[in-house]
Amino acid sequence: MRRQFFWLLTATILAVIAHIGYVLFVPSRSFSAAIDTALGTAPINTFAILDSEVQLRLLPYASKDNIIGICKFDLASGPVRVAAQLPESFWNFAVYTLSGEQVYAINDTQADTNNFNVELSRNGGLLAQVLNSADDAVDVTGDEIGWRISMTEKQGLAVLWVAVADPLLRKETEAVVKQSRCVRVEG
Amino acid sequence: MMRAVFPVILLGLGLVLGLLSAQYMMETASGATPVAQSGWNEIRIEKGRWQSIYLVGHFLRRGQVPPPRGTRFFARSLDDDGNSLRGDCQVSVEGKLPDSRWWFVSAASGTGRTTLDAGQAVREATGETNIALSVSPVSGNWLVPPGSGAYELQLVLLGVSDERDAAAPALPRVKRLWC
Repeated sequence: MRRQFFWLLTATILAVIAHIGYVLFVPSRSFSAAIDTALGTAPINTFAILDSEVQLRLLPYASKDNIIGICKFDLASGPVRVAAQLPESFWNFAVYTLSGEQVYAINDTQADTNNFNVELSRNGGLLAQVLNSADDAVDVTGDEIGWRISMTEKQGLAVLWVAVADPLLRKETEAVVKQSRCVRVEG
Repeated sequence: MMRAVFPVILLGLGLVLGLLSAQYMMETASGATPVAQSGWNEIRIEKGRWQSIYLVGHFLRRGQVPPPRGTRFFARSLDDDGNSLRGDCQVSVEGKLPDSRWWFVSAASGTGRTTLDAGQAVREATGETNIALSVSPVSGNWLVPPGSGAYELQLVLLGVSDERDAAAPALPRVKRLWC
């Protein structure tokens, strides 16, 4: 009886571990793979406008007419800057870790500007992460209009979503969004 | 013999149950909040809410970016009478859409997703937005379901007037017209 109870308890613990393991690792791997497929051959730290079929698959809040720009970034070798150029329209900018956690989000009315810079960097060492466990965003004042965002994970995704009220204006709108950049900050 | 097999079966069962329960809870967006008397469920991802891990996983597993903060995401797979939503039936979405700066109505299944958004839709003089989901052409707002099988109907609101308002807005009715 005691032996059976032992194996039942072990099986329950194994079930819990398998459950947690699946929740923590499988979805983020699927997400990462989907982003890599969507970006195709585009290198990391590059801003890319998505094809309308791809954006429909990747974003549950997009139609074929919206304009979606994404940048998969890697902070391992230093900070990355997203310089966004956006039209007079309803837009949303969000930053995610590759495990799907949203680090930052802002829209046109909250930003009050259509051109801004966002500098993404990694939280310092282990001690800094312990002391400042939450991912953080800080306003930058001075010459640059923008924000500094520090995060614990080294890879993530910046997503620009732009509504196009009139399909006839899609090309013009896309031309503006295409000027956005995602680059590693040198030095 | 039985003594040796019993632990192996039990451990295998534990492993399978752990994996399947995680898969099921994410697939069904466990933790989504039913919107009273509407048939819609709201998928609300909030920091500090333990269910959010399943809700985020619901999107990640499908290789999708989770909706950004300030977005309200509603989903359902049954009509108002409890029938499953299927591509081989004509379904009507009727009523006023809640106040927001942008919205999407999508039909999503394993085979794909089709979407109608605020930029494409025509609104009635009464302020209502009526959408027909059908494989054959329909006048007005027409959305083709992805395939002939079951699909999930999604309503996404962006830029809602008060993002922190936990109360669900009045949501449109969903009726099956014919199959």
